Amino acid sequence: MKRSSKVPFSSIQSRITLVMAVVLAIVLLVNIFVFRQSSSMVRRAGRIFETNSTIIKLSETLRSTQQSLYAYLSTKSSGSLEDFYRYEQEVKDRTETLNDQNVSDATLMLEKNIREMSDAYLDTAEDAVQARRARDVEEYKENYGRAFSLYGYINSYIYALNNTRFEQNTESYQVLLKAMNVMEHSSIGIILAAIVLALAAAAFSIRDMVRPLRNLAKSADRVAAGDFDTEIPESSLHDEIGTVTNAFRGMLISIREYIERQRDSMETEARLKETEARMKENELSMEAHLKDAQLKFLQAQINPHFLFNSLNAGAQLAMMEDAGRTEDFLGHMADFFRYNVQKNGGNATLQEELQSVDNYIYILNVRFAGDIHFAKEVEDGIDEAAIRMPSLILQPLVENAVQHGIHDDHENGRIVLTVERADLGETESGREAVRVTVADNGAGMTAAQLKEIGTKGSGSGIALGNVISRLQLYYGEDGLFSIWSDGPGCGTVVTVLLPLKQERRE
Amino acid sequence: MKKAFLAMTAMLLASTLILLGTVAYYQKKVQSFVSPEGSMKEYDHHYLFVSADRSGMMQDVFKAASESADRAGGYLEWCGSGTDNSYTEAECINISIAMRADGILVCPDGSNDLADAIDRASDAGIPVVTIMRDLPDSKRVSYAGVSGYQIGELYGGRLISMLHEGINDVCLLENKGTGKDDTQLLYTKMIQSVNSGAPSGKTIKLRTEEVDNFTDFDTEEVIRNLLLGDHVPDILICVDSIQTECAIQALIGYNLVGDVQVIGYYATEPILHALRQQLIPVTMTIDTAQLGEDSVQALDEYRKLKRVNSYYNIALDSITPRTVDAYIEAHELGEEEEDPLS
Repeated sequence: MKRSSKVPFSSIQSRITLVMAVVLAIVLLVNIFVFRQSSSMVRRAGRIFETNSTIIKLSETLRSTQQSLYAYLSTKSSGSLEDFYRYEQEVKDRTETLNDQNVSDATLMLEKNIREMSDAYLDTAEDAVQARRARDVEEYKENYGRAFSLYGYINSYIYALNNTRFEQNTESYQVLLKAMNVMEHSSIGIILAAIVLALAAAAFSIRDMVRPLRNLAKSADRVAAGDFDTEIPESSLHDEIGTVTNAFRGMLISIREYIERQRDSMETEARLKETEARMKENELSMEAHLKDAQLKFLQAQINPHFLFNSLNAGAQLAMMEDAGRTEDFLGHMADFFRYNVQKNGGNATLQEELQSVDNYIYILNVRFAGDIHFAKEVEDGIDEAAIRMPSLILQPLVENAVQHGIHDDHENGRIVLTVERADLGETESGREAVRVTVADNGAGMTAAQLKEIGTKGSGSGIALGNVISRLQLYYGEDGLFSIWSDGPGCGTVVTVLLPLKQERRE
Repeated sequence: MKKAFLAMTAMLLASTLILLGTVAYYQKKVQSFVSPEGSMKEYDHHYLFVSADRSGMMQDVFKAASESADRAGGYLEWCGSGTDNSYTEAECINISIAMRADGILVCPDGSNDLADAIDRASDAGIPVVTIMRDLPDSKRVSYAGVSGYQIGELYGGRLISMLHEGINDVCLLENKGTGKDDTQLLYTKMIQSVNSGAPSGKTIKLRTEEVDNFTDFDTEEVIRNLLLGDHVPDILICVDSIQTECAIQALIGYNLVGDVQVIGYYATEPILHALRQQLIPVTMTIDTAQLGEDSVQALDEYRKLKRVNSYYNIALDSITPRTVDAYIEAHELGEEEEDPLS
């Protein structure tokens, strides 16, 4: 508003109003001109035959004068005398408008002749009246005769003048009619030209006004078609279109910037998704590892099943033969393998895991003549049967301690399995947990071995890597498995955290 | 845009030109009847020309007199022109008096009351100059024209060469009202000239035939009766252009060319044509320009000095078939190829 107030006629409304005002003014002026010309012609046409009217009135007045003169001379009545003087004055008034100069125009000379003869006639008539008053009969008769003759001459000249004027006026009328005809056609042409000009001027003006809007519309179409790179030059107009153009230009620039930002954001998001995909790929890889372990287990289960059945048959045979130790041994063997077969791939309770470890240790002690020194310490208050965990977790740990820890020194080797409550915050999720520790005083491990186990979980067959992966899959968090050794010969401590309140998962 | 602008400008200019042209056309047309003569001339004096003779010769005299009056600041008007009435010359004089004219040129028609009318005009202070025919008994201030003596001498001279052996019947047409004195003088001088110049054995018997007025019909009737009558003249003498033209037409119409010799008067186009065709042997002519100029000069002189010569003599001449071409050339007359008598 401030800008438009500085620049006159900057708004479309004012410009259109101005154009329309100019258009109307042109048409109005032309119409006024034509109307005035027409009026002038009509007035002139009306005046053309005025001269004939004047001449005829003069003739009538002269006739009245002559009649009143005759009446007075005949009757000597005061009324007729009064009429005579009245008409005499009227004749004088009328003849005063006639030409009295000697000029080269024959018609005007006719007027002069009539004027002069009328004066002579009135003088003669006056003489007759005076003679009649003086009762001079001869005199007034003579004067009346001369007046009568003059009256005849005047009438003849008036008739000639009237005819001449009528011819002239008719000719003038014809000329005027032709002029009017020309004017009429010309006026129509001029009005049409004015209208065409006015419309053309209006059309061009409006086109000039609308052109930026049309350009803006084209730009808007391109933008609507997705071409946000369309360049819209800054408008120098001060009207609404200029405002809209500049606003649209600003909006387009904003959209372009927004798109740029969105593009950056999407690229960032794509990178994140790529990272997630990679993580997913890792997860899938772990699942593949599990499947691989499970496959290996299945392959390995052939023998346990056969052994399990065979052991059951042996136990029954030992019982029939009253071989109690053999029966126990075979019973523990059968329980051990049964557990492996039944729980493989599923979950179990901590109690079942600990029982499996006991069975394993019993078998090993039978095998190695009681050389395996194994101790199990369970913290009071821990309900082993209520704690669910993945199966086949603890037995491999104990097996590792036997195989790699105390393998070379069974006599001195000690394996301690501890079950106790974990400290709060010990798990990454912060959940309450039970810590199971399998510690040995055997061979221990080097830092490189620890690092290899920490990163890949490999190096010990299917044991540790499989245990770590299944713990992560089962509880959905990392950091539940740890292994530590102070070095070779210093023994190894393996800790497994079992978060509580874990929903049962099959 | 540029083309559109040019088109609009051209259209605007065309409209403006049409508008201005139309206005100019309208103004010119209107002006033409508002003031028909842009440079209308004003005159100091108003003269009246009174003549019942409206022959070509008299028209030439009027024209010459008008031009002369115009040069002297006077306007000459043929009395009664423009009206339907045919006024007598006396009535025209009365009209001129009523018009308070500054002077009157009158060609007397022989009417008796004309001299009285001239006297009334003179009494009213209006000078009157007679032309072609004089009224010496009136109060006219001057006369411009030829005398009977002059005409008789010239006619007589021409007659001599036209006479055949024996008595030649010569008929002189005479306008009614012509002064007896003038006619007598003409007769006398003509006979005297023939007698003194004609060879022996060739004589003339002169008679006159009066023509009632100046109208063509009456003149034609008189000439017809004359040429188809029992006494066809050998030589017919005309004293005005109307008589001459009627006589020429009668010669052709009645197949009398060669039988009747016509001495014409004045040099109108039909008369000149007849001369070239050798239908007539001779025609008399006067210097109408001189006559018109002298008559107006007489009026002007009297108006200024209150006195003037009483007689302005105008030269009389003759045209024959031999001199007609020179006459036409000298007077810059364009004779039409078409036969004006046909």
